[in-house]
Amino acid sequence: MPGFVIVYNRRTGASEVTAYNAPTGHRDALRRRLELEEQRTDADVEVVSLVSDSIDTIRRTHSRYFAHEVSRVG
Amino acid sequence: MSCSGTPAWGRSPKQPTTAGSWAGAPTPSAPSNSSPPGRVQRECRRALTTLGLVGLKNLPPLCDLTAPSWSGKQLRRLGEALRDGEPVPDSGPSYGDVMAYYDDLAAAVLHLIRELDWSSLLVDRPPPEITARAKTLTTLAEKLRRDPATPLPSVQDIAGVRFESAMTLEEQTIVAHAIASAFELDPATACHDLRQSHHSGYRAVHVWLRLPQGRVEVQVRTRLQGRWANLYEAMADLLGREIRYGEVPAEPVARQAVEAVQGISVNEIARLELLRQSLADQRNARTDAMGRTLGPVDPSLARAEHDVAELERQVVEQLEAAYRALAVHRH
Repeated sequence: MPGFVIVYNRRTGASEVTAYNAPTGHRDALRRRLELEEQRTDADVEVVSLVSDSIDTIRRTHSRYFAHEVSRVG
Repeated sequence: MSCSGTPAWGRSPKQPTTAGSWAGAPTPSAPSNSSPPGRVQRECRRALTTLGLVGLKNLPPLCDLTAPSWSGKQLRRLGEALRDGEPVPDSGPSYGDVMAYYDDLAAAVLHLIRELDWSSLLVDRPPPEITARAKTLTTLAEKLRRDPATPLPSVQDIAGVRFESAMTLEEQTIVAHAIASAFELDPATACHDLRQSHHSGYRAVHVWLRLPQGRVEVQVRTRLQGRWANLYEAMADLLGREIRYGEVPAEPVARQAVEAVQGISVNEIARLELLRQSLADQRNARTDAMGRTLGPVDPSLARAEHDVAELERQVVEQLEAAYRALAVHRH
């Protein structure tokens, strides 16, 4: 199932979204999330990986991450 | 673990949803009808039939998951290390191994729930929005510190699934019960109704799946409950995540803002959802078993539906205004 990595700054609301659209994309997203968590130095930054059939679904169920978003394809 | 076969997903003709008052309806002043005992259970059984829900825990991809190679004791030690910020013991699983397992578990449960024919229950509405995730390092460590009596193997929501749809309170109950029953769990113990006993304003129904493969929390939310929860989490990002656990900020302006947003949930949205339920009850009382309207449209019901739609528009505007205020505060 597709996966999405969101790097979200709790203080500013800014986020960067990367989509992993392969059928097992959620595993790629989780791997990337673990790497980013490892590298993280700012405690205000949250790194999350989400599983969904589309980014539009996540925009609705996790709307707080999308106030100031930059999107990428992984 | 063996699979019992391929899913026979329900593809029954659409049935009207019989709505009734939610058994946990809070405010006595709000409109509500008394629901015959066992109504939700009956509706849940019907939903299970029309959804084709049977023994999901024995179906792929859930039963294809390889059982974890670690013991409960090793998982507990990992949790202690995460909680205390200490190195992870070499003898057990890594944090990454555990997260990868629970991410697959959450994805498998999402897949099974998504494949069901929800249109037979949530008639004439878009498909539910369903997402999943494994808990992040920060929130997991926070949880282990906040509740040291709960070791990692007992944390219910390492794997989490979110189910959102436009639905009445009774439909929300039926969805939660149907999900629990589909995984062969007793809804009375698996479903946790946070609509009446809300947590800092948070209202939803959570289903605690305790499966042979591990624990998963399914959050079942109406659209408005979901929108509110996102707003409140965004507030918590700025004002401190403690506001999600009963604390209020000491600073008066922040405290007022938190209480005002909690009020939108426990007063405005709760009242609106009770009104919607009441209208659904009246509408369903005027339909036959095939969902056909009996007799002419009642003008007072149409007027009431218009008024409730206007009330919903106002509530959504309140939520959006609160979001705008938050954005201004951030900049």
